[in-house]
Amino acid sequence: MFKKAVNVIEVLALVAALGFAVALARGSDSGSGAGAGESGSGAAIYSSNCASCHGNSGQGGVGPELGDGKVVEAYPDAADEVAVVKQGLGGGRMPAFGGRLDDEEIRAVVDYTRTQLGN
Amino acid sequence: MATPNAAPTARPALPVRLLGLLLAGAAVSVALGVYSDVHDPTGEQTYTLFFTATINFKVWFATVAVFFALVQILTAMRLFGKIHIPRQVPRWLGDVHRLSGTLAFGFSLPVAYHCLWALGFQSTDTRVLAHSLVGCFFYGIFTVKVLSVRSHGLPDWLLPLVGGATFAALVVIWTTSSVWFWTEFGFPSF
Ligand code: HEC
Repeated sequence: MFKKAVNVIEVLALVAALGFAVALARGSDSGSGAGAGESGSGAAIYSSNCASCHGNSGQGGVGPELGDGKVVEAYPDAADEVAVVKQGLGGGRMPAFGGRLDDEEIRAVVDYTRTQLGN
Repeated sequence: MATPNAAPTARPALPVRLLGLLLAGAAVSVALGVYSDVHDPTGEQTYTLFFTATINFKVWFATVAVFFALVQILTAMRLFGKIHIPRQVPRWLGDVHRLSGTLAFGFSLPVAYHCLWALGFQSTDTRVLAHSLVGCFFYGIFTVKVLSVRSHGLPDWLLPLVGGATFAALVVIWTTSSVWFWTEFGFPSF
């Protein structure tokens, strides 16, 4: 019984592995346009550094909503948002990214939050 | 894949078979490495399930994979008599071993998919570089492991070596991602 179930699960895993390869191989036309692109693009940086707190589409979570133009309202001048990302906010509740991302990356992710996130 | 081997002597010589295994693994690793470098990372958020964001989903799926890999290593040690708990090997232990390995692999796939598809190979710092490299290595050595289990007449040292390396690679991947994530952003971060 158990053995049979394990056999079936193994076959399913094999199918999943094939699906994995096929999914990777499909054309990447679903990319989010400008901002996607090279590694270190704003979208990629956002997804691995910011989304955990601000939500996948900037809708907010642990951190406030950024998407949908909210962050532009809060910081009309992009340089002020850059400063927040660099230095952090709220006594570390929003971490300082100055040591983790370089200036170019911070610039890219800030642009991404202002122009593409949740739009 | 239990091809009945009518004539064992018909098998290629051992060095040839070992080379074959190595090449199969290398092909997988190199293919993933090249893909992750060539493919334009989409930055897409693929799925979240009930987690806050994709990254949290990945942190926890990777952790579940490591858990099953641990079961896999412990059952292997019992099956090969390296540990003696439980004293009697239950009949189903071999199947638990297979199941845990299969599940570890299954849980790793959606995580790797997002890495490869949306983030790509990155070398911004040592952690990220190590994670990218070992991530590609992992599926290669995993391939070698699965093929070795399915083959007969290989040297005794091969399976523990390859199995141990697979487990070690997964732990490195997990340390440079999930553990790192928790130290930066707090535990448990669902
Ligand atoms: C560990 C969770 C966490 C992560 C990761 C995080 N943030 Fe935040 N962020 C917060 C919190 C919490 C606040 C609110 C701080 C406060 O007001 O006290 C915040 C505030 C902000 C603000 C100010 C918003 C406003 O309306 O005042 C910006 C801009 C921002 N984050 C951008 C980012 C970017 C860009 C990233 C990725 C590089 C990021 N955050 C990563 C938690 C996080």
